[in-house]
Amino acid sequence: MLTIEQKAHFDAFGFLIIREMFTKEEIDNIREATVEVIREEGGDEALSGDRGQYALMGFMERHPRLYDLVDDDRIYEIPETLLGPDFYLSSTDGHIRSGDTPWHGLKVSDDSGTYAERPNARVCLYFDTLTQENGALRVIPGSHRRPFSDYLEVLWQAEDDPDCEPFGTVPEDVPCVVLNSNPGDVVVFTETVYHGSFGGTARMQLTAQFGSFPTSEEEERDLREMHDKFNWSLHPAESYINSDRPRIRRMVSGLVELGFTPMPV
Amino acid sequence: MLTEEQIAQFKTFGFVILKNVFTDDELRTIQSEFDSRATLASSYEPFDGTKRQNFNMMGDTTPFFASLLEDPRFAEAAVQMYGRVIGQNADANRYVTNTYWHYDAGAYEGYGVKFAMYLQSVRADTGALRVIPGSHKQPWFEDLDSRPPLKYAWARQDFSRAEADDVIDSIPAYVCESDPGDVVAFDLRIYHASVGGSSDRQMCTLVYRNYPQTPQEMIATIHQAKGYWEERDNSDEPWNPKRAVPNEWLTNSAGSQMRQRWIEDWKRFSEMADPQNGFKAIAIDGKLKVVPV
Repeated sequence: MLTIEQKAHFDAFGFLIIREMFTKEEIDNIREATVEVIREEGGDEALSGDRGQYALMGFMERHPRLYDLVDDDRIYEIPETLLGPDFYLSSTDGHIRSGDTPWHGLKVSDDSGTYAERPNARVCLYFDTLTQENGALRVIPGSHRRPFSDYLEVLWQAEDDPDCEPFGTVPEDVPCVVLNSNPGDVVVFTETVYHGSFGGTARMQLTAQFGSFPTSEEEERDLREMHDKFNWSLHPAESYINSDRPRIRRMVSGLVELGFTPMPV
Repeated sequence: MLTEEQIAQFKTFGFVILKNVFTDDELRTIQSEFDSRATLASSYEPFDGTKRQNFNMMGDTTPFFASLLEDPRFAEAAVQMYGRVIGQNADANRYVTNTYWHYDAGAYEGYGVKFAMYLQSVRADTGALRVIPGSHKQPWFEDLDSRPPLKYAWARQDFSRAEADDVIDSIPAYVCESDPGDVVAFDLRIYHASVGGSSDRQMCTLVYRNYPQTPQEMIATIHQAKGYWEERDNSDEPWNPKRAVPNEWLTNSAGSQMRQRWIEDWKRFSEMADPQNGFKAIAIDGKLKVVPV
């Protein structure tokens, strides 16, 4: 269970690092399973990182040693504490990333409506020791809040113009904190905090994205719009819908009740 | 002059690092003037690395540093940041130990910029300033102000605990590494701290305050000005003037129009009444707040 201090930290700064959540043996086991899924679905080329980025959604659902990970108390209690007991699982995914991931976060001018502002938590496991030099996640603390995020929207210009420097610095020198981590650590952040990574070679990560249900008609409408836009997120896996584990069923049942279409995984 | 991008960085994040502002000759002069003031202070109270010493640098014995407050590199930069400003003071410090999380503005509405220059290279574990980017903005500022260890009421219960490495490190921050000649400019409201400074971390500053634009800012400035103009007992620092600035600076023998305007601003605000226009300044948990009457 997260402490009050950890929740306060997440609320204030938009992220949290939980050190040594998994033992070496456990993380090696998870890594092995992750590699097996990527090799099965993407081949050795995907594993090499030569593609720049490889991403596979509905990931944990695909392997028996990863399937129950979202139900591990250590993982489950993260969204339970941060988002409340009625959280939902939006998606799981696995990535191989190389190079830079530009800054991105809450984009008020986006058409996601209230969806972007609903509390959410992204739980990440990395399998390499990551530092400033090799692609550790960087965040701008507190940037999940307005009006700070409003000032940072200029960072999205890098999508179209990688050489733009709205603050007079190259992207990796934008004021931020670097989330150095070791295998076994768990990094949690809200999707809306401005984050990115720079300078990394191929690195693998496993992620579960959690959200909190709408509290108004407007929020429900916006959530439905996002469901219609996404191919994977907000589409509960059939194997989770029909899971024999009550907590897994619960974390996707709300999406089923909203009529969100499942994904055949 | 600052570039548009530097101004954008300052306004967004609350700070900007200016590289290589001073020439080597200027650095030598600054160090020489710092040393002269440090020597004087030590003649009263020998510096032993356990207690911070502060020196006013606006007197006739530190002419170069005193001139920096009107130097366009800083005075014009401050105007670019805030519009009209009031030059406040130029001083220097011999810091010892860590510095706990805090902000420099009295009340939130009494803001401005501090240009800080370290006379030695500083890094994350050797006393570099670290800041919470963007923490000068509301409502986040207010939210952070309620959270230990940032909350002043928490820190003052046990300053030694507030200064501990683990407490300072528990807050995510950006470290403003700098080398001699660099200047770190930061909004007085930004939360900042430092870890690992030596027992003689030498740093000089120039401070400008915003010229008040709102009734709340007016109250904060009036409060600041009354303290600025007041003569105090300086027996704990006899090497410093009794006022915030020495009389020779106020005399303004060179007839600087910029300085004269500032002096008149401080004098005028110091003579104004508090409360005013429906607001007043009060102390809450050791911090100044501007509240409706």
